[in-house]
Amino acid sequence: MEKIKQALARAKLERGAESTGNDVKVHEPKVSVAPPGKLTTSINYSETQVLKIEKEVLIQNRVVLGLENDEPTTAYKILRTQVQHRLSAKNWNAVAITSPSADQGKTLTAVNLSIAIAREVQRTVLLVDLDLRNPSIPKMFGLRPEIGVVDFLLDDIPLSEMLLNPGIERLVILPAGRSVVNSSELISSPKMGDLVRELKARYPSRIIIFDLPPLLVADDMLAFAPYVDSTLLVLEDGKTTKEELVRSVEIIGEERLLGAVLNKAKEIQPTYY
Amino acid sequence: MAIRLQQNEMRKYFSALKRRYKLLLAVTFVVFFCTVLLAIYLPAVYESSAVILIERQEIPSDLVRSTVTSFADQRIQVISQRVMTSENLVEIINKYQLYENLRSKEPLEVVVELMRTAVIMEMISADVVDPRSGRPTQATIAFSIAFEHRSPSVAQRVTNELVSLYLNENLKNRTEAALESSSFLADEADRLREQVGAMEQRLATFKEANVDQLPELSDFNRRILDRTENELLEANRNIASLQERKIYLQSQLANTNPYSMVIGESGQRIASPQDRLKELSTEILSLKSRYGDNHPDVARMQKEIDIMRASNASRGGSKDLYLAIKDSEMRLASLQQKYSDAHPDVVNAKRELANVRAEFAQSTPLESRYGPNQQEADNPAYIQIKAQLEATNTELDSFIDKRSELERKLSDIERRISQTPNVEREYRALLRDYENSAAKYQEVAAKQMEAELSQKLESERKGEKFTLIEPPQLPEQPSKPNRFAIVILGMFLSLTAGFGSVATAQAMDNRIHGRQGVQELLGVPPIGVIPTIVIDGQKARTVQTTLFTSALVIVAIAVLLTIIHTQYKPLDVVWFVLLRKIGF
Repeated sequence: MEKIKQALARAKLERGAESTGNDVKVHEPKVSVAPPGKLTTSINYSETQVLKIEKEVLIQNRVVLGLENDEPTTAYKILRTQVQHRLSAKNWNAVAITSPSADQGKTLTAVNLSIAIAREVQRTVLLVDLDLRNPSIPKMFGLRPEIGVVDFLLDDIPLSEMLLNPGIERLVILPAGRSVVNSSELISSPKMGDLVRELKARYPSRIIIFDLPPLLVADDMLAFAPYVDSTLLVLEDGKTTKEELVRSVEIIGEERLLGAVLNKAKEIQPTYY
Repeated sequence: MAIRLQQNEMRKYFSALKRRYKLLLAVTFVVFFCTVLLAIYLPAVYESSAVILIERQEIPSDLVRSTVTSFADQRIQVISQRVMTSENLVEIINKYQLYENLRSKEPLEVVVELMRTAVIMEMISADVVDPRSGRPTQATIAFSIAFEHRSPSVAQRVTNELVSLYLNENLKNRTEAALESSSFLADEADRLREQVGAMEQRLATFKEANVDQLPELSDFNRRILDRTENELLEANRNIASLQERKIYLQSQLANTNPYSMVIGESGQRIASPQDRLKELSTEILSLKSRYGDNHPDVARMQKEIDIMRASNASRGGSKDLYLAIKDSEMRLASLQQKYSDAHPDVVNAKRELANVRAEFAQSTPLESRYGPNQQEADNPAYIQIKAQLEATNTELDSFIDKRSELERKLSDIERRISQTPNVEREYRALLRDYENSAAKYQEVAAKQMEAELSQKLESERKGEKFTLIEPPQLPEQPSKPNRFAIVILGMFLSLTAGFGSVATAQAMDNRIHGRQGVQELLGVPPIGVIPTIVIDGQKARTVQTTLFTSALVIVAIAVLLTIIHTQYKPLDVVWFVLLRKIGF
């Protein structure tokens, strides 16, 4: 609660100090917060679009809402805890999610992880779709946004017009926009860097999750690596080869590797925590 | 940490297995199924076998040794080779119509080869003690022949055929061997006999040629030499003495008047007419020289001489004539010394000489003209001496002859003796050769006899022989295949195949599996393990696939069973057969 208050205060300050010479204008939505003391928060997004999502669509897309107590939910919860531990240990708040190759469930993992984190009361999550070649996060929610990061980078469209809330509390999505070919160039542009810095600095307690294209397929991740603290590597059980894994880790660098996620695991793994 | 690692290993294997259980099951099942099919479907093969015992020689080998000397198994192999020729096998194949199917499709060589593999020959050995070295070894005492075929009766008949082939071949083999030995030895013996004969001949010829110089005679020759030398010495001595005697006698004779003197009453010697004539001739010469030819004394003497001559001439003694010739010749010679040829005395003397010669020639053509006729001489002393002389001469001559003979003989013996060493050498050489040949011949002749004996041994079947102690039976149980064994083997094989395929898949797999997989590579386990999120549609699809697969398998099995049922045997028969074969 305190943190949010602080955040709000700062936002006000910043809005007030728009003419400090920053090129980037970030308009954060106004968030009205319930009076402190109440644990349950219901955040009302004032500027962010709140969209109604079909539950069927979500289920169809394997989006785990975390409402039931089934296996996937538990798994994501564990993952969430792990991630949070590591992030807080290093005082990081940004994670890039990628996988060696496509179709390994990286985007889904990003989405579900975001949801899982969002379910936790103290946290807000910003999910950024940086797979500029093949943006797929909105699809998972059954959304088809027209504008996104690309538009911001190229046309300077304000972020406030892009942010979405898919009806899950504390989760905000920044879509990619239209797909572009020169994604890696865009990602490595200084504007991107500023954006990331800004996003990170805005709400330190907010966790930002970046969904990036597959590591060995494109060099986007490689370009993006300097801007992000850590990377989560998503692997598919029985499909990712050992070489891919080794290569990916080489590229990411062991310090930046937050951890590996074994997706589509075939066996029932006993838990050890 | 070691224990943990081990657990990880085990877990890895188990998880791999769990992961690939479908592969394992599929491979195992398929292989096993095929094996079972094989066990059922393989046609039965019957084997009919016969045992032939190798019986040892009846007659102890010390008495008669066999010429067949190879080891029994060696012989059996040789016989085997002879029996199992393509020719024989083709004959059998045609006789019993074996492998009819195959014959129409494949060339004959292939069929013959197949038959060769169907004939099984095995040696049966026993532990014996080698009589020479005293060490225990294995000796072949029997062997078995068997033939495999799908039909039991055919198997039996063919085995019978093979058995008789073997037995016959063995007999042939043995008798051939014995015959060869004895004929070879016979040839050798003949050759050597001839050789010995030739040597003998040479030896005899040599002996003949050198009969005197043979070393056997050397002693004898020496003795003869000694004796001859002695004889020679004696002969020489005799000759010397005889010669002495001869000279003596000759001189004696010379001093003896061949004519005996007639002593008159007055005691005066009366000269024989010849003596008188001689006297007168001498006298007349001296008278003529003193007085000349015309003196009356000379004339008177001449007349006496003429008368005497005439009377002597009538007696016809050639001795006288000879003397007269000599006398005339002497006279003529002396006259010719004094006067020339023209002188009338010389002429007269010549005329006289011619007359006397003519008379002489007329009167005594056949008698000796040389010396005084023994008839003429009448002095007994003279005659005696003369006789002695003659005898001595004769003896001397004979001794001289003997001596020359002895000398010749001596030189001959010496030559013989000197040549004896050479002769001896050559002789010894010949003798040695001869003895060698003779010895060899003896040897070979003895061996030949032995060989003939053993040939007899073989021909009367008293040698080592093959006896059929177990004739081929009609097999009731198939010898092959051992279906039970095949099934058991199949089980192991299929399990091996299954695990093998799993292992191979695992080895070839380069993907990450499970938490362990990640941990292996990263060193840390994944921080999140998300199970496969299944959605309804997917579930349905899995079920669909399973249903589909099972349906496929069922159809496949049904088809297979139909095939068995129609092509091979009805299924219930198969079932019972299967039970029986597996061992129930």
